[in-house]
Amino acid sequence: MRDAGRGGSPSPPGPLSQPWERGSPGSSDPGSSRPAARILWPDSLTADFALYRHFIAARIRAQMQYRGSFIVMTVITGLGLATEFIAILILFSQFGDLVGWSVGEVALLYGLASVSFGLAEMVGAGFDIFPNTIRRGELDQVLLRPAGVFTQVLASDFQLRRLARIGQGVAALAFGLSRTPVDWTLGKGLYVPVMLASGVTMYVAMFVFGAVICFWTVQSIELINILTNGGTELASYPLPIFHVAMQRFFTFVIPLAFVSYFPALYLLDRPEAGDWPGWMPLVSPLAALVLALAARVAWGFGVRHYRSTGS
Amino acid sequence: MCYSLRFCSPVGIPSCGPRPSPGAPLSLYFEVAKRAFARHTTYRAANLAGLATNSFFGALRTYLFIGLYAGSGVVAGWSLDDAVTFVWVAQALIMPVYLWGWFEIAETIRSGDVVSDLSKPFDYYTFWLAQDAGRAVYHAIFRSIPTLAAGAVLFAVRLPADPGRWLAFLLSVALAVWISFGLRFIVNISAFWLLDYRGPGFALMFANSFFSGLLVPLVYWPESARQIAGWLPFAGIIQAPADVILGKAAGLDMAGLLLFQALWGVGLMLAGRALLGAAVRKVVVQGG
Repeated sequence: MRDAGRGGSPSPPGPLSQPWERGSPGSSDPGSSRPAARILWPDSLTADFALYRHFIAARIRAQMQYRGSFIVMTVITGLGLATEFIAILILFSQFGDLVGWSVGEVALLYGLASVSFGLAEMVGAGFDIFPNTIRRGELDQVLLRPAGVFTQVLASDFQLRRLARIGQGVAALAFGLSRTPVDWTLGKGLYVPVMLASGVTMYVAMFVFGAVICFWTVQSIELINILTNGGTELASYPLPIFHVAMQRFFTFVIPLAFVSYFPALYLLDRPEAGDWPGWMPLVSPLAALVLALAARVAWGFGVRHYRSTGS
Repeated sequence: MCYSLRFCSPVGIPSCGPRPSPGAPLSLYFEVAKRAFARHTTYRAANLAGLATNSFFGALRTYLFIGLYAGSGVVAGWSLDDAVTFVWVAQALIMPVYLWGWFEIAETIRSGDVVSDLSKPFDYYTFWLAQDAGRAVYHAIFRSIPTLAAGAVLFAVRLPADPGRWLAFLLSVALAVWISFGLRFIVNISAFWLLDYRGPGFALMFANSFFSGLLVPLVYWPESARQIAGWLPFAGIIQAPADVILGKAAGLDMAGLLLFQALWGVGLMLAGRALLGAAVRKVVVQGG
């Protein structure tokens, strides 16, 4: 029965065939009484993965119900995001280059940031809207269900229309690569999925942190928005143009520079790569892992200490 | 049929046209504006967070221009100082003109509250405009001024002290708010017809960001594109007041710019009111 939830297609709904019927005890309590290894991959995540896919499939079906609206929204969002990229093109048509970076190279940065952010938005927006979830008291329902809280919140705002940002990022990448040929090696080719996965993980971790703060106050979500949206725009440009303090912050504290800038240095064989140690490209996945771990622990802490808004 | 622009009766009431009462006095709308101002003063924390956002993006765009200009003196007629000043003026203007995501009227349509609003003895458009004016004054005082102060502190952004230019600037900002309200009003009224009003709403947000010069000032646009964008109402929302305070539009140019803004304000008002009239004749109330 366990296999029914994993592997190929989701099993049809039935009274006792669903993962949550098997029970996932203590899924909202990841660390205190279990072996340390379980923090990394709690039972609930495996059992809940099938649940997550069910949720996503249901949300996609729901969004496709209003197919006209969905298409219109996605097209409008796509065009709107395109204006951001057109803005960059316009600026470069006037200014030529940006501290030695050509329009193609900046397009690469922009594309990397957009794709990572877009993927993260599509997957993890449930944490982004978490302040509303808490304020409306909906978290109580989530906590009462015998399934992982993390999974439910993760699946709660899956938005297919975020494909617009992902598509636009891919288009920017294509433009960038056509203007700035990359000297592809096996290492670089293997690195691409790694760096994208790292970028997405970092963004989702930031969304989770933002949601964790909501357990105590719903006020600070805008600050997280600055870091995610603002950070994405910052990551669309070469890091050295910014004030040293900003560079350090987005390298060592919120490592969004590893979403686009450092991978680009490596892919483009830019001379600045020499300023940094040779193992720099490996920092992306490491930073992502560290952030993900921290987010997971913080989340568990937040859920355990949650006191509802009261009624 | 509704012949009076001043008052449109809601669906279901057969009589139409001017009400027996003389209509709402101007002091009512002033009171409405004052209440809206007072309402917004309670959002202190949100305002501070928003100020941080404005400052961050202001800083980001400033560094972008510093990097772009590196060495060049004047590009497309603007110096680096002009560009940086524009960045901070634009950030300061975002909230008064409420560039993004205003759906208050659409939400009353969605909930059905719009019917009670329409049956009140005041002019619907002017009522909402008055509320927006009160809100805009709040944002001008508690958001724009601090944002400009942040620019002054962080990047030594200086605005000219010429009082004549400031007067023209304030007039231009008021007109910009009017234009933006006109656009938002039309988008919100579309909720009478569309189940999902976010489509036009998002389209307006993107158009606002791009054609107002916020993403990239119109002065840098290629000639033909700039000509077209210069006629659109969005240019009157941010680029126009910024041009006034930067001194890029002076004398006759400035008068022409203010006239341009005023004409769009009037045009959008007429379009909005016509749309409202059509909506009231064919109302579909969601909710309840």
